Amino acid sequence: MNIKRKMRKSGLTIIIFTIAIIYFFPILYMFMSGFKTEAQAVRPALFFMPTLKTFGKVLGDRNMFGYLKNSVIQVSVGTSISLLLGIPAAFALAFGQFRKKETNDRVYLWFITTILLPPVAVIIPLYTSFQKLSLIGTPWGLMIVYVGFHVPIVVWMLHSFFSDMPLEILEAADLDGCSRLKQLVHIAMPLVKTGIIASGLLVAVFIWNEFFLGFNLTGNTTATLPVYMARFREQQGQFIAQLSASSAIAILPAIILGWMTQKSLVKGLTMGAVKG
Amino acid sequence: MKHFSFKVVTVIFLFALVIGFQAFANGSSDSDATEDVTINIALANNPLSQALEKIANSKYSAEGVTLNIAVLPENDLRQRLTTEASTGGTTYDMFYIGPYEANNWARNGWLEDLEPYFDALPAEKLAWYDRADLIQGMVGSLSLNGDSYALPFYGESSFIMYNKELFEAKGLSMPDEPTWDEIYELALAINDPANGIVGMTMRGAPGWGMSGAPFVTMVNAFGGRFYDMDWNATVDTPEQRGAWEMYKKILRDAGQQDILSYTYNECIALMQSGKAGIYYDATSIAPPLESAESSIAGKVGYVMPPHQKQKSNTAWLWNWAMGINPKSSEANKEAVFNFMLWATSKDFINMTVEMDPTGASTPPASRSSTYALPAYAKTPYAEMTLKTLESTDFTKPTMEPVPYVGLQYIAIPEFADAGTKMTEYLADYVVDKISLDEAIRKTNDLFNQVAIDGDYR
Amino acid sequence: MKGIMVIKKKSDWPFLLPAMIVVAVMTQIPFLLTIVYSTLRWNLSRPDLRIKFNGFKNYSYFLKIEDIRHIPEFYSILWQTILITVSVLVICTFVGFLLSLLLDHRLPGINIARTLILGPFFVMSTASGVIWKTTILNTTFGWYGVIADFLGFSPVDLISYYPLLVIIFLFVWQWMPFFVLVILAGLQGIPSHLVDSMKIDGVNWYQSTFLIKLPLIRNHMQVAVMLGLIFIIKEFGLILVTTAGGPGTRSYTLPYAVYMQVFNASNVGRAGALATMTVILTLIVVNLLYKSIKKSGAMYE
Repeated sequence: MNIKRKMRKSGLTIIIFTIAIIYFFPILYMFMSGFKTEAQAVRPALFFMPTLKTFGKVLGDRNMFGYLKNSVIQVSVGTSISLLLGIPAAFALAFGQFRKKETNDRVYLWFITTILLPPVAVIIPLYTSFQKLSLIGTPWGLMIVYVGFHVPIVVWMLHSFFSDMPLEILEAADLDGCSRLKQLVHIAMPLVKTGIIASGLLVAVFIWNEFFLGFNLTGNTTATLPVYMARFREQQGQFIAQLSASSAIAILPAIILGWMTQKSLVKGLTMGAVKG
Repeated sequence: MKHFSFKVVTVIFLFALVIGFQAFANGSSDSDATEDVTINIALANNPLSQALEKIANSKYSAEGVTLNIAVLPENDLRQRLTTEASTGGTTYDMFYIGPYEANNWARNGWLEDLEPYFDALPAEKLAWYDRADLIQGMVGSLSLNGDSYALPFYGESSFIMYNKELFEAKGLSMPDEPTWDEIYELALAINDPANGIVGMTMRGAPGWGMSGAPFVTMVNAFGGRFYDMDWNATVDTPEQRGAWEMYKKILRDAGQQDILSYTYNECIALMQSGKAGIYYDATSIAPPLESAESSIAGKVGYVMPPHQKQKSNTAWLWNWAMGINPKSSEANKEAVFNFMLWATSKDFINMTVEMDPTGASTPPASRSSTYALPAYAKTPYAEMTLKTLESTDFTKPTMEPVPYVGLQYIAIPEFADAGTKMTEYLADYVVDKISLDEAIRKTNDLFNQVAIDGDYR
Repeated sequence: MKGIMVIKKKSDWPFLLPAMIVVAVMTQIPFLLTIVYSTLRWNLSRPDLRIKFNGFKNYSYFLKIEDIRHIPEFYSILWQTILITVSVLVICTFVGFLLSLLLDHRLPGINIARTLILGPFFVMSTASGVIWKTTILNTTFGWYGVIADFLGFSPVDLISYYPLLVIIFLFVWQWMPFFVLVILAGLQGIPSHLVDSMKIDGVNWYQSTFLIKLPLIRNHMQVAVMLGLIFIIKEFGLILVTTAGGPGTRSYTLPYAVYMQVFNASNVGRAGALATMTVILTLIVVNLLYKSIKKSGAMYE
């Protein structure tokens, strides 16, 4: 490789890394500040003596643990149920036989338009009925709303994966007298494994980060991490270290999950979407 | 390979079921009266309420009762509780509100009448609580037809706090009963951006209970009012304009940099750091300024709230009080009542004075006996607090007669929205996004609309 | 052999119905209720005023222009919503494309750089909003203040004086990684033999990027833009924790306005009208976008 090329490559690398670090800096600084004491955190500084005290304080906070638990519950159960409902639905839309041939397309379109629905359009009736049914104090109310909002995403992503599957395999299974359910579980699902993982991950990240519904449909015992984070917005200068430590705990799982799975995510998103 | 994803999904599902089941088991613990109850409380994020949260979490214990306290930004708290009360929800068992809500909600049946609860108390407990010791003005603002619907946790009026050191350094002195003009001149004199000193700090963040509070008292002081007796909006008057201009002048010429993001929390932090000369806010803000965390403890002066055209009654009157959600279960309501008694009792006040002799955690203006406590009476702000409280009359807020009551707010339900909108227009005007004429016109139209929509006119 | 499935006696509906029911009950039915509410006069804080049918009065409250010199606030909120959405979309697409081009190189540690840039997409918007507001944009305690001091200029409170710029900037920071993710995947999916043959043919950078690569990743761009649009229109938390819609209503968007109508003004009827109009606007914008993408796609055919 000649000098010019090497220089070009080094130059490019420097530019890219500078951009990347600057772009990521707010989050990096937040993680760093979690290791400061409040006194150290007041003035922006890159060099300091790190301590674990603040993290200890935040983790020991009974409330913080509660919000963490609530988020974990919403994500784990919510994603599972969304997958549980969405996978068969996508399967049925791709291969199902209904009385009218257009049903497949019509219902698929109906699912897709639901993705467009902003949560503000449903918050009023949901809030008032949740109050009447006392669902705000339990995680199930919010969870079923999350499922309702995220099943269409699962359906949308998996639909194209399923459509890509060769029909012959399923036909053969039909001839062998295999039931639909068995076809789905033993044949179809393994073939769209990437899609299932990708949609599951996407839904998990979305639910973990979801704010608007969580903000309005929860109470003390059921509030999730994004709701807890929003409470810090009026604490100027007073609790920066605590805010940083809490944020670090709140965003770490989603960031790690997202990073580890970027490849699957992209595959799922683009495969699912590119085919339309 | 074929069964791999099936296994993965099954594992996730089972894991989820286990967690879900555990959550379910934990979640159903507050329904039976003979078992443990959990009471849900939301408090505001002002210093005294936050002190209550800390003390309650460490010192409150009642058999079979678990406290679950969340501290919310004040605007959020009001919005959540109001919508909760009006939709009959049970998310919160205790309502942390002020006279604005209490009066209205009692009328609508959104607060539990406390008299039956008091009647059911054994004689010694009633004597221990000593209802007569509660400051009657506060109690009255929380009652309807003589029945109490909420108990005052702490009360406040408003006054001027100033940094005596900064004043001495510049050879200035604060009059005992300043006018707004005088305050402005003093703020200008102290203002020293080159050295990072702010002349005067005031709440700038919009919200009827946020910047609305100091602003509306300013309007009253300038002789302005919001409605005439026929419910015509009177925002477009020279008196009101005077107030709007003064508010802007102070903040732009001598106020904090990040004007609009300053709630009282930010103002307190600024004042505590010694970087502000004058601060107009609630009397309950004084304790944090005298606390151990404040670098100006012992160097703060207190004078009457500024007047202008109206010579007196230019402060505000507020208390944060505790009421019971009438829709909660009987067991929860009982538990909340006991908690309320504890938090508003003399024992609680004594405990806070012991914990912090500067009085930073002690609820002011709820009980007369507080001011008899030697340690508390010695605090620099006690005397002026009492003086301003006694100067207020919330039934006659303005120079000319008005069809409403309330000093720093108008006691109609629509004010939560209209007042907030007004402070938003004010904010726009302060940062030069709209002209004064535009802001006044919008506010005037708004209040007229409210009068019509709400069938007042 | 038949090309379609053998029709079984058992119906396929059991696979579909549970999902449909949950989605319908949680999204479509509440939306229908919202539309119904939008025709009512219903103020939660005034139980003494009966709930009554109001026809289109709630809509005309927002839309009616009585005096051309003083148009209702709704239109500025509408304008702000469109401005924010379109700006963010355009910036994310263009700058996202450029960033993807940068990242589409085989350099040591490129994965790390990509991972860093990707990070903000996975951070919850309330956390990122609070972090930006408190540790960076704050003129006293944040990096902005420190840098301004260092450079010798007086820091202007961006959140109070330039709220829309701040919102647009933060939205872009939050969502551009998503665009980069998808577009980069598209770029990396271009067969290497095509790239090589471009080099051999002596195609210059401009031509290879905009005339050859761009059309090839059209599908990916489409996904990024459509999904990105949906994320941006829905966003609420970021606005709440930074500018809170202020000053005044200067950084209100339609979703934020709906929130304030319900929880601050307690006016269910008006909130319903705003929410319905928000959905209509979303549908219109998505439709327009979809059509224009199809049109530009036809150009390349």
